[in-house]
Amino acid sequence: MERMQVRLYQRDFSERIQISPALQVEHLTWKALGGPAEAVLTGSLPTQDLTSRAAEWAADTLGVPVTVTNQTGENAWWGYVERVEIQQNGLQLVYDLAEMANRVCVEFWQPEPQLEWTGARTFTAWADDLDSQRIFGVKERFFTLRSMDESEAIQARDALLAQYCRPLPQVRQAAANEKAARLRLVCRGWWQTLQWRMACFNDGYQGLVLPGQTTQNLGRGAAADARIAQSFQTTYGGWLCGEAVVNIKSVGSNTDQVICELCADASGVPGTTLASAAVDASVVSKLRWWVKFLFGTRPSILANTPYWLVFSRSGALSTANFYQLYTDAANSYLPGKLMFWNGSAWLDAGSGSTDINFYTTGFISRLSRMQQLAAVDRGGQFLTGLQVNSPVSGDTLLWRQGRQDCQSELADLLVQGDSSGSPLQAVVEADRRLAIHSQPAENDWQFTLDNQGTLRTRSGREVCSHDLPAGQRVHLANGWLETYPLIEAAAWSPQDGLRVSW
Amino acid sequence: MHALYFGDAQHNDRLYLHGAGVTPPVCGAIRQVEPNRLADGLLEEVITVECKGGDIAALISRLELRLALLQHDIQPWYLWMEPYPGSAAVGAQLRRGQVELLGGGTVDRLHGYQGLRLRLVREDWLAELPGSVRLQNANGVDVLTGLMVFNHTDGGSGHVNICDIRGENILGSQPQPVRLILEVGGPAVRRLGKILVSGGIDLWDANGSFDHVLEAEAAVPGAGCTSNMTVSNISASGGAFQTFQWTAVTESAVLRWTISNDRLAWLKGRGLRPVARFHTSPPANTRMRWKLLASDGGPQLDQSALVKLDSASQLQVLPALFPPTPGGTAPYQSFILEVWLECTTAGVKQIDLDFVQLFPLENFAFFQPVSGIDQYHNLVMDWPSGDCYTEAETGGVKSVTHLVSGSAMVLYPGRNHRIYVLYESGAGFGIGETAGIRVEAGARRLLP
Repeated sequence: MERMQVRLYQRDFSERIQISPALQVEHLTWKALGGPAEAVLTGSLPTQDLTSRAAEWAADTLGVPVTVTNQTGENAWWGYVERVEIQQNGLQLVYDLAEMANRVCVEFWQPEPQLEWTGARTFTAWADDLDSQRIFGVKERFFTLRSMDESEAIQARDALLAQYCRPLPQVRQAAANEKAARLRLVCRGWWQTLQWRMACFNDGYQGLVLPGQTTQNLGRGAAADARIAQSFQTTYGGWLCGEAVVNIKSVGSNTDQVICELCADASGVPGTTLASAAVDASVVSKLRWWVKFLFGTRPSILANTPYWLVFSRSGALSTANFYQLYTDAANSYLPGKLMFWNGSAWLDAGSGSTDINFYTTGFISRLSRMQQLAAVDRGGQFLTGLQVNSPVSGDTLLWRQGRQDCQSELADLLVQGDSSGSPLQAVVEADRRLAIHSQPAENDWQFTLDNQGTLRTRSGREVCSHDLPAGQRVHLANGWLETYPLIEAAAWSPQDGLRVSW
Repeated sequence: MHALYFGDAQHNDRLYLHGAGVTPPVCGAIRQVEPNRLADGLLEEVITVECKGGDIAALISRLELRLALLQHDIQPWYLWMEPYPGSAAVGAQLRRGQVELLGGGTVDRLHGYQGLRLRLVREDWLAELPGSVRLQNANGVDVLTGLMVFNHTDGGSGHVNICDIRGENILGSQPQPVRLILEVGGPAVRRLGKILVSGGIDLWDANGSFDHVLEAEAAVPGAGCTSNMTVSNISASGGAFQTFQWTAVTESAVLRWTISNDRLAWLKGRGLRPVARFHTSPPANTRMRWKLLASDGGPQLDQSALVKLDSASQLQVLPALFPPTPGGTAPYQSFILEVWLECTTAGVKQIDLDFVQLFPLENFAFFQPVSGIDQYHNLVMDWPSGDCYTEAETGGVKSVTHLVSGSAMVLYPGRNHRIYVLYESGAGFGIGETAGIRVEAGARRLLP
């Protein structure tokens, strides 16, 4: 049976020299996704001095890093203290980080007509309790409330922050009536802390969606509307332009295609084509509607740099059969303008204050999004870095509303697998680095479960907790299965030793 | 039983229950021959004490007080026994205890007599007073006062970082944790930081010993190594170290050794904690893992945990490994021990490796510096109590300079024992540095 040793650290991860109670392991668990999951530790406060300040000790211990090493000296489990329970003389005191939130916002329904595409529900700005964040790290939470005025929502937000920003002591009567103070610590793996922050990315859509009331022809005459171009630029860069969407309708009977080119800027007019997409006329309605142009390759967009969406038709110009886009002449979209091709040069439409109804959809590579989610200013506030050991391809939407936390968002990205479609796994390593790698191949087994039910390495050694079997494949020596199942979870307790499940 | 008494760890402050030293009101005592075995593995000594004359109430009060003090971890108390005249006293620290009145209780005391029953809970072994253990290595034999060890092992005269204890010098019948003293000495001004100590039984005999040193010069490049070179250097073990370069940003095999069946014959199922000296500190963000391959380089048999190397240190504690030594007896098939490195920095990465020493896992302890231990100070690891502290050579002032993690060093009567030590000072990992080792142990047995 493995012998476990528990060690608590300072909040800054440095060694903790002060006297702590001796803690025993009740159980440890690990999961294929995330690595160390839960540890339950128990102990008693042996000295009178510690007993007298048990409550203070409990509050101080909440959130501190903890490691469990086995008799080989290797780290077997690592994470932080999420809950502290102290029981003495028929009373139980509990501190729990689960409910705490020191960065709060409120989602509410603003009862007024919604004009923008962002939707009817609105979020207040975040409110922070910096003192609590300094102690415990940033823990976000949004509350959904009823229809209300914005000032009401802000008032509610501030009240909620005040209520939840510190872990509140819960005291209740307990059945046992022991003189010695008994401790129970519930610890979570660092993977859990990716839930502490929401995956909110406000950037990603750019354009003018407030409905314009005038129209701009396209594909009617050679000197006025054979080609029209709308410029745009963003204050943020490094994103991929995947789509251009415009308000357009078909006039007459069109059978050709509408073409949209994404072009670089060349001294204030459209320049080199970076990507293009075409939409069949049959897709364009006779009524005003949004039409989406999907770019096969997604050009990378630089910050504060103008780009152009150039529209034209594939067929011949026609005064009977043409297209119309919708415009606003009040310069409502400041970062861009509409121009038209007069046959020899690009000219401003409406003296440079006209824009069409359009927007672009931003994307980001999955790898970059993983890096964002695991960054220190988002889900990775306690992590030391991210290591991706498998090729990860594909893109994902740049914009995220922030309804999902970073852990859920990351899990969604992992489900899509690596470049060859094999599922991805994520494990927080002992030095708190998040490592992402492909699930072992079907026949790539590292452990065997022998006929006595003992988990062993290929060399025949009995597996120890530090071998972290969760996420690895196992060979069943009794031949019950022809495949090598993936170990989804592992658990260790003093009574049962190491057990795995799949 | 010749004598039975309470006292401190050094037999001082005695309170005799039986034997020539008893003083009134104690007249004598009878010890239950076979102590009661408790559910938690401890033993309960039951001793009947006869008191007559003197201040019986004061005696009871004294007994109760000392039992209360030990129960609250304020002052330890020991029960000592001398089985026959001239024999060494054996004893054990008490965990808890209680005093009961016998016979007519306080009514008896009115007549100047009181029977007491003491129930004393102790460990299930008895130990003699610790004494210095005879040590030997290439720098001395039967040394009791501090045997010199170097900070490496190679062919140089006296260049060993080990010392041995002959099994015949380990008395008693039970395993005994030791008190290990590392003497920094002087006069050179230095401060020791990381200190690694290990040990184990049956690692040497009259015919040979386990060769614990893997010189880097003896390693061959792995599949991921892009360049390697042996560099002669007088401050490296064996007079040289080897550089290995690699470029991959994911884990790759950089170097390997073949572990011969000669070496494996000494291991017999034991785990190893390798410790390395890098001639220059490894690059930042370098992680390392062992992979154990069959002797033909084929299937992977086992692998270790992945650990991050300390880029500010030449002395590295590497992950534990478990050689494939099935069954209890040699010979075993040799295997390949491969070093896999991962460094996310782009471009060429390089390590300058001097040696790896294979420390037994069973007695491995890592002393992590809080501040460091200076010259003319001793690091004391008192494994029987679990206390670790630094003590000045003169004056005996104690301080906390290191935090210890790992296993106790335990001697087994009649079995040869070997101790290993390596450390780093403020000037780095100097292989020419020396220190002294002293070991104290008390023979343990189950019965008096």
